[in-house]
Amino acid sequence: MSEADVPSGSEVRPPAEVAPGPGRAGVERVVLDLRDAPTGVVGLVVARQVLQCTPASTEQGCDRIGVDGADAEVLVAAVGHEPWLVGEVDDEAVTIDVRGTEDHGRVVLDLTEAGGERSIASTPTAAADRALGILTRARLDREVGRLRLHGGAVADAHGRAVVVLGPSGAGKSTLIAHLAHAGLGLVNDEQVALFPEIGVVAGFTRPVAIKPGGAAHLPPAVASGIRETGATVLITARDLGTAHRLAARPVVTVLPERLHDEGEGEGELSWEVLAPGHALEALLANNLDLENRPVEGLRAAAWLVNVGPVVRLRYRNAADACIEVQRLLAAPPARPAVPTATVIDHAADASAGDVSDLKAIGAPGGGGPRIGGSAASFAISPEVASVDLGHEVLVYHRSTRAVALLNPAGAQRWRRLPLAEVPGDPEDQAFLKQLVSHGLVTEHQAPSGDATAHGGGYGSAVLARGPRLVSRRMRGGVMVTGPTGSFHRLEGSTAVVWNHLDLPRSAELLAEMVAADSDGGPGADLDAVRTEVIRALAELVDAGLLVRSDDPLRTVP
Amino acid sequence: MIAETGPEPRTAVSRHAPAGSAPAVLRQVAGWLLPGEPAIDPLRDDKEAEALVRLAAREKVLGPLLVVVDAGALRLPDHLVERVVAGHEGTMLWCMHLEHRLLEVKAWFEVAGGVDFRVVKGPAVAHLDEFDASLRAFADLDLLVRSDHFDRAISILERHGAVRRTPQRRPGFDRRFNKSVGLTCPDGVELDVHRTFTGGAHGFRVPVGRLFESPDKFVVAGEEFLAPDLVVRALHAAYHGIVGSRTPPLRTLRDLAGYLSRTGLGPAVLAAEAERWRGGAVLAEAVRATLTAFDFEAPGWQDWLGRTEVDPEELEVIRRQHDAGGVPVLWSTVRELRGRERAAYLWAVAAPSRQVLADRGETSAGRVWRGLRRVSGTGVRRQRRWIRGRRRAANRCRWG
Repeated sequence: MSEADVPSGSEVRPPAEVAPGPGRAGVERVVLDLRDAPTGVVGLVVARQVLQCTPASTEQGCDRIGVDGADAEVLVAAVGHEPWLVGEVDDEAVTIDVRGTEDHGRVVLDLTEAGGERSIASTPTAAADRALGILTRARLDREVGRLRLHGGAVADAHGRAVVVLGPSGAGKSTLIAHLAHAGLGLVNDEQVALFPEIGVVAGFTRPVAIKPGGAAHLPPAVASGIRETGATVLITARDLGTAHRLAARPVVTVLPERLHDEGEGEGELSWEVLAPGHALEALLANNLDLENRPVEGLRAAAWLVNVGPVVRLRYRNAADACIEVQRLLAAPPARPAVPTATVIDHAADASAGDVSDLKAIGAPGGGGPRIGGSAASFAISPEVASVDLGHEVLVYHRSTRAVALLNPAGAQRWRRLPLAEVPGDPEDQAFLKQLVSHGLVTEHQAPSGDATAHGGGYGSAVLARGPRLVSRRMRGGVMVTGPTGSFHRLEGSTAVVWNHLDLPRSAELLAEMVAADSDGGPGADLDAVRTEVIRALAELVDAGLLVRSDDPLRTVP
Repeated sequence: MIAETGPEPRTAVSRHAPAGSAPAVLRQVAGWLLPGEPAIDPLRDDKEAEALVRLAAREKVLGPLLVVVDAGALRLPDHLVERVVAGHEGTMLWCMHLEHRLLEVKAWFEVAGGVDFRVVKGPAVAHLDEFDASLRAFADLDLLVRSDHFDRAISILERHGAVRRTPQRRPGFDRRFNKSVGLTCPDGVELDVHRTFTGGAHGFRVPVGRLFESPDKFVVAGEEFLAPDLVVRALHAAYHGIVGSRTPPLRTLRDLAGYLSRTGLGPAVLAAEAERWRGGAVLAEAVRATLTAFDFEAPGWQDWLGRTEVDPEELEVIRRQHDAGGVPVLWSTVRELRGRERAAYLWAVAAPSRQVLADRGETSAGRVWRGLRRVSGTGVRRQRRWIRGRRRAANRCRWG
């Protein structure tokens, strides 16, 4: 859609002249702006911008903003009760068809991405917010290497930011609306991106989204102008009496926890500074990209823990919390000493090396890491990335997204890995068993001369699909996704073995089943099939997709 | 009225499309695995092939299309096959995402002390009624929750970030009268929590307790889920196709055809249960739509349809439900309720909560004014006529 199609009432700012200068980091960003258009229509101006940030410029707030008018696109979402074909937004990676429905004026957003299809239905007002989210996410997805956190940020006139993180319902947006209304610049209330190399956090401009029922907690001056409709309410920076800031230097990170009326918590308002390990854990719980770029994500999170204290704030009244956060921003509390955090990618350590190998298991030439020599050996799973915080170690598993914070004793044992044999100390054994059961450490049985005859190291153990793995047979293979979207594509014999593991089975039984299904029928060369089954099992185990069926992890919800 | 003398039911894909056209071939694709379904006609040209892929994506039957192509029963240009594969993978990834949410919901319910629920439609049909789950796409999650757990289930889901799409009409309305409550999660996943299967009059006729009896089990990622039994699933498909939609979706017709071709699910079982639900007309319409859409062999059902008389009043109840446009105060619906239930229902309809009014952009005063205007017109005259008629009838009974 061209600029000429922008409905009257919307406006596209003229392009500003921005040229990347020497030493300046240019980041392409999308700016989404909610404009009031003629009666009954909300216009969303979607424009491509180039944000120029330098450490110096952030002291004065964000740098100049440019909008390329030719690239501006408009999404108009219908507000009303009439079915209304309203428009289409094409982005490089995402297409959203917007149309009205006969169902109580709901708007359906059809997202077609890379041939896929998803439908998201919502009320007209919520549809605008949803479109913002989809477009923004699609654009930010192309910003390779950034860690994005689920949360918001506001900044003072000196470009010092308070980052507010937390799960949905914690009161982030309400708190941010209060802070913005109190005069702080609005960075974002939904996602913030971290740019450790230039020392800033940044957002994209969009209105603050207040969930149904949340308007009552807003500053009275803002709440009075809002009509609660049972849908998400979008409040522009202008309505909050402030302006957008695209980037700022983080000074303090706040994790709000709204206390409800059932007597949770004791006081009305309290806060505590989290220890580095717990702070990092909290940040990872709010990350949006860790599974795709774990190492960069961990580094960026460790950076945020290093640049300022992470404070857990418990509150009942958002206005009180706002005053306290302003105090924290003005005079940040001392943070515990944090040694330089070392982030280790154990996929790079392993012989398999590239994590991407795991994305197409079973492809010709694929193979997991091997530690040979003894009856059993233990190595850190290539699925793991860890952060050494000195006293403690934080361990992150890519597929299950499990985060484990190891105490000093555990951290010491962790640093001793890999082990060529089972340790003699019972405590070490118990610790190791726990790590193995959670897939953080892999146990390898060394293949011996007659390995295939005995199940290739799996012996008579019964293997089962890992917990919370959802799969679908597809053309030429199987797709497997983990709890938060980790994705594996199984092909060839690995897919065949996976399909036979609909129930826990031993390697020997699997070999017989696969042989029976093969072209040669039950009389097929069982030894050859067994070797192939064992290779497939090894790959599945290494990818963290299989567990022993007596593994306690299988029963843990 | 004999069922077959009525107008041909509307279906998602017209039965009269010319052979080899995209709609006709798509219908054959959807019914390909049914017993006795004839071979698929070749597509007339590449334009029809393009249209077929688009149509299959819209009707969410890319899985069956891929099976047909892989089996060599239909030829598509390579670039379109790639598009089907990619589209199907995308659809399945969304379904897998929904199943992860289902696992989460189960865990949320368990942590909160347990909620008695059944999984209906999408995942249940995919895992229980298809020979491979990848053949059945679905776009959202539907849970059937027992009435006494209903409010708690909604509040648990809201605590985990799901947002109601419309506010509750009056306190307690959902668990007593509402067909379902729609919620949207922050990531766009839609969760529909059902009290019963269908809206309107049939919503109050369906014996809700029966829906929870002798459930079937299916497993997702090692976790066991409960779904209504086969008879209930089949009738749910019938209600969804006929009462819930003006035009039965192709997916639903395909589900229905699968149920009707099962040997253990003949008219003696299914029609008898439908009669107990006072839903014989719904089943007859569903069977008629299914037999019209596909050429599969279902002699038992053809005979049953031929000898089944559908009460025109029942067809009218279905039609009114379609034309109601969400208006809940239909006499056909209200008459299913008795005494205090009816009064409570009418009160909720007449005086919805402030949130409901705000959601519609109405005020109490405006609503009263609009109501008065409506009543002062033909409504009042009609009502007076109706009252006079009732009095005359009563007098006839008394004196005659």
